[in-house]
Amino acid sequence: MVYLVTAYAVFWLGIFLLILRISMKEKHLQDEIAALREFLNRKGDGHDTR
Amino acid sequence: MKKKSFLFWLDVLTAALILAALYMALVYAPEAANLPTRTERLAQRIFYFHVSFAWTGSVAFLVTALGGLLYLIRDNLKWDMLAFSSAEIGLVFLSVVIVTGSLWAKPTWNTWWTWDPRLTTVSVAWLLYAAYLMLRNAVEDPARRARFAAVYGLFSFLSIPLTLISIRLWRTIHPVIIGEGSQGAQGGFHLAPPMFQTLMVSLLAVTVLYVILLLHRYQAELLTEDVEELREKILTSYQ
Repeated sequence: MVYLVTAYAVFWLGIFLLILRISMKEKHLQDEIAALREFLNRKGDGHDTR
Repeated sequence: MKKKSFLFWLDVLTAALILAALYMALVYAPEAANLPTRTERLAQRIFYFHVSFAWTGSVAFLVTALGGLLYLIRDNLKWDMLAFSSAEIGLVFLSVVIVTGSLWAKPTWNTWWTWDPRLTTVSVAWLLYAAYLMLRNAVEDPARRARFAAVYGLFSFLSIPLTLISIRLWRTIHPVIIGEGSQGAQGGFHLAPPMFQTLMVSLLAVTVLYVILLLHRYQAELLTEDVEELREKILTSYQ
């Protein structure tokens, strides 16, 4: 029983970690894009963005 | 209310399929009657996901090879992004296959690991694809990186068919479930119709899981490209 439970835990731990990595990467990139766009817009409005 | 995307509904479908496959693998499929101990019969239920992840992992590396080939022909970085995304998922799938195979081996072969042809070839494939990801990190220029990775990805793929046919080419203790296996194989069983149905549902569930992961991972690569473009725009505006 212990082999079966451990094996299924490994299947789903692997997939969970992969999903976590992909979704965190997506979130981080979306936040970065939003920040960069805001920076560009402010610059376009003549604000000092330094 | 914001309309749910196609990707969201595909996520929901994947979750439902995975639950169905889990139910079939753990409850619906009968025990392998020929296996002598209860521990072996229980461990045999690892088979459904072990095989599904192995097949889908192989498909992932095929996509990496094809993505690389298409990059070399078309010179479009999008193909390289697809190849990279697929390799990353394939490597996780292969890692899962190796660890769960070892967990199945202990009660069946009485050892966690042995240098059997199948286990050796799968280890070589794992190392090749781990090196593929390392190679990508070592090259900065995107076009150069894509070219190197494409050629390397094509050569690495040779290890996948070799791994798949190794149990038919050489004498091995790894069982062959469909077709004739090696005489010394241990842990094999007759695939009854409910077992076959369970295997097919698991295979479908894991394939859909791979597709959804690939779509999300590819989307992340497109976002990375957007970030690079925006950064470039900001830098040029200061020059």
